[in-house]
Amino acid sequence: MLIFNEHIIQIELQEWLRVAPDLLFIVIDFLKGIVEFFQSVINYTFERLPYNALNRMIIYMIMIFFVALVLLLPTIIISKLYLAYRKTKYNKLHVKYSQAVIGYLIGSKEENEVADKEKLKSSRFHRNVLIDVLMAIDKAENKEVSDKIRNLYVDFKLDKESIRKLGKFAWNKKIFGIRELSHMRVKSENQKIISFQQKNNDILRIESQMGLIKLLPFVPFAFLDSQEKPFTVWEQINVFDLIRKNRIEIPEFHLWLNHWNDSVVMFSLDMIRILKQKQAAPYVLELINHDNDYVKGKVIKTLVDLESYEAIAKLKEIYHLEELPNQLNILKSIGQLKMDTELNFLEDKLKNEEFKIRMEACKSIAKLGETGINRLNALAVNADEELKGIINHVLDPRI
Amino acid sequence: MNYDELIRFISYFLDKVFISYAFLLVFSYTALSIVSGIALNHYLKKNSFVDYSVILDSPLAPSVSVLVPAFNEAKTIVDNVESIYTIHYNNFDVIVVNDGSTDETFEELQKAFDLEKVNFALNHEIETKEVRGVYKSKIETYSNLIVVDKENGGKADALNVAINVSDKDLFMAIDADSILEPDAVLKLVKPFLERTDRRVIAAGGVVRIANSCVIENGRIAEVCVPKNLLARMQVLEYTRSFLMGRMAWAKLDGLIIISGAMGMFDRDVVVQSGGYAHTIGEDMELVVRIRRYMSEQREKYKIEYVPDPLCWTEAPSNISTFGRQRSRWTRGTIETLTDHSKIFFSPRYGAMGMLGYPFWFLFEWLAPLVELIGIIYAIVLYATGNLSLNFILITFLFVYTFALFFTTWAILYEELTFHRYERKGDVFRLWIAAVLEPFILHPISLFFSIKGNIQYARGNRNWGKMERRGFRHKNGRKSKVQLLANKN
Repeated sequence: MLIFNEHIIQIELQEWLRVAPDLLFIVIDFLKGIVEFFQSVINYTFERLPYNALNRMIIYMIMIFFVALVLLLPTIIISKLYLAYRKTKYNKLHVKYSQAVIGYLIGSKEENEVADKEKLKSSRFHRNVLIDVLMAIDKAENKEVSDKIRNLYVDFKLDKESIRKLGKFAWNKKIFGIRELSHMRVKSENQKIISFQQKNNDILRIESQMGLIKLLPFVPFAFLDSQEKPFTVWEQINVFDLIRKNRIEIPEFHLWLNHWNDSVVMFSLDMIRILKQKQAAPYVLELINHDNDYVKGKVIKTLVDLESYEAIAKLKEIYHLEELPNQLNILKSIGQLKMDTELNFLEDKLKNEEFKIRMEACKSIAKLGETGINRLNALAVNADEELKGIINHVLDPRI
Repeated sequence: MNYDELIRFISYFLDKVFISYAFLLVFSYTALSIVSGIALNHYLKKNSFVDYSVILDSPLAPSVSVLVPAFNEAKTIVDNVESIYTIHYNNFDVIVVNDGSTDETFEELQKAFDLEKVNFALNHEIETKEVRGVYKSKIETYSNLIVVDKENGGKADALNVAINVSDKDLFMAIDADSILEPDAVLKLVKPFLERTDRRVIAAGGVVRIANSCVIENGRIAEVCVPKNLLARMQVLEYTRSFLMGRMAWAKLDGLIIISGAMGMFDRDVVVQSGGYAHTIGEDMELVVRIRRYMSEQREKYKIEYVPDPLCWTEAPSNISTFGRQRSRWTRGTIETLTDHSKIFFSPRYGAMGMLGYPFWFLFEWLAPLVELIGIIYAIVLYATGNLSLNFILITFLFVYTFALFFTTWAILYEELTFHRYERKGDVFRLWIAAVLEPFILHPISLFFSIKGNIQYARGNRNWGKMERRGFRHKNGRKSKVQLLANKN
């Protein structure tokens, strides 16, 4: 007996068992018919062609392409319809939950009105939409709001859903789990997240680091100690973004200046520079003879941004030993610190044949203020064409 | 060996060549599609939780120059430059190079952006034609716009001037008529940020066809399947090429082309390898050369590819313009392949030498020639009674079913990944175009590829004319202009 109830078809088991063999025979007959049809087509074709391996192969390949084509077409239609259906359903539910959560946050709704707990229990789709909504609304960076959202997350047992994702085989699902748990500051799974740092999958490893920064706010950068793989700029940007947007204890980054991994050293230098950790200047200066030119470049930039005037003497000392990019960095640093005592040093560099050195030296002279500008104007009188052009460029305020 | 034996030998040889070639081609394309599917799946998984906005205000993000070479683009250049300013990025400048246009391109720019000449000292790191002047905008909004006016020297020369002007870490070369997605720069920059032990020297993205799409304020407001059948068939071509071919080649580290319509490069590497060469296919040539340079310097490097649709361009909608474009592409391919023949099957150049180059040589350059010889051979055999009509028919059916299957596969990838064609019936219209494509677009492409080969053999190295119809605007302007831009 078939009972239609809200689009759900319920069929009694006995009825199914009675009908199933007949249905099976019909399906088998249908498939047999298709196979026979193809066989007859193949036989018909072979009868009209010389019997050889090539002809057989071509015919079989045509059949394969044809069958694949027949399978692809409904796949396209079904996937298109399914994706559109999911998108609509997701959007509708997202709006519904967003309104409910906002209502709860402003006090016009009770917690039990935000979502139907039974529905959440039975539908993974509903759980995931509600998690998305909570995470999206929690970007307000208001502690009170954030705590209320976290309570909702825990009360609706959505943390169970996130924890379940950590155990999934697919690495991207694990990442969703890490993101959700770290966002909602659920620390019970910290050990599992820490274990992901040993994984070969770079993306999973990076995401676990990001998660731990949020979950371990008092030792957020502990992962740097054991960072063996290159710490990419992409990771650095994300970490810096976390520092800015979250209540995270900012460490003294000079602690990692002697790290064996140069990418960690460069990140630490950038952080010292951006966060203006002036007390780190002596440690930074110690790296001035670092083997890696890129690190050295960052050292120069950091010293200048920390306004370390005493570093200039050292930088001048190493100038002639450096490659072009770092020579330019040194020249730039003198201008940035506006050290008019170094005018002669800069002027000397205008004799260099390299365009970039002349340009950078001129720019630094101009940055010295009136003394520098007057000097450039005086130099322009007897300068060669290239230098004249550079001086005009530097003195043009529109560029 | 007598005459009959010789004929039999040639016939036997050709049979084997054509059959092996056809099966190798089918195998290669199928393998590439599978690799592409794996790469696409990985890309989508990897980027499903990426927040690109973290790059926007990060002090660690690299600086980028957007380079726009322009030649006789007077009627569209202002709109196009304005559209570049819809992109989301902070640390960037725009360098437009007027390559000695004979129309009002420069005057239009000067008027619209209130340009004034500045005392710009140009570092000639790459040799170029003479620069008449460098201009900057007096308008605050366009303070990062630099316009260079120079003697005509071709697209490559204009791009080289722009590289000389740029002082940024990376540059993005685009065509003057390209419409960028707002997050195009963010998405192209990301691979450079993910550099580990291998330096990322270039990144390419997917270019899509904008014919019949609705443009609003310099952005694609509505994606539509082109009404023009020729353009619609090119949508399929682009989908196959960008979503299946290039994605797979990037995964295999054998990518040797980044579209001239949009690509991002490490400026230092390009300067060190000599900049753009004065060839017809300067986009492909540059990629091959920077790869060669890095291999010869024994530096580890990679070229990345972003499968997101990041750039929209206008496809030729009439046969003559389409033909000129295809002949030019063929000549560009041949020129690049012959100039860099040293890398053919050379293990020194890694996957480019062992896979990428041989594939382009066999299936891009030689394919039309093999096909033409095959057709002639089949006609001769049939005329002499050595080939049955049935065999010709099943061979045709073999090629046709494979072509249709392969294009349908590409449509499926598009639907499963970015599904930009959302209007009712769009996919059906595309599939109908796929059914017709082997009878319409393919013979035309074949003809013009052969023509390109002949032109190359005759020493023709010109760009030819390029006709643009303009895009459809939401404000009712159906088509901007019908202009003939004599592209150098």
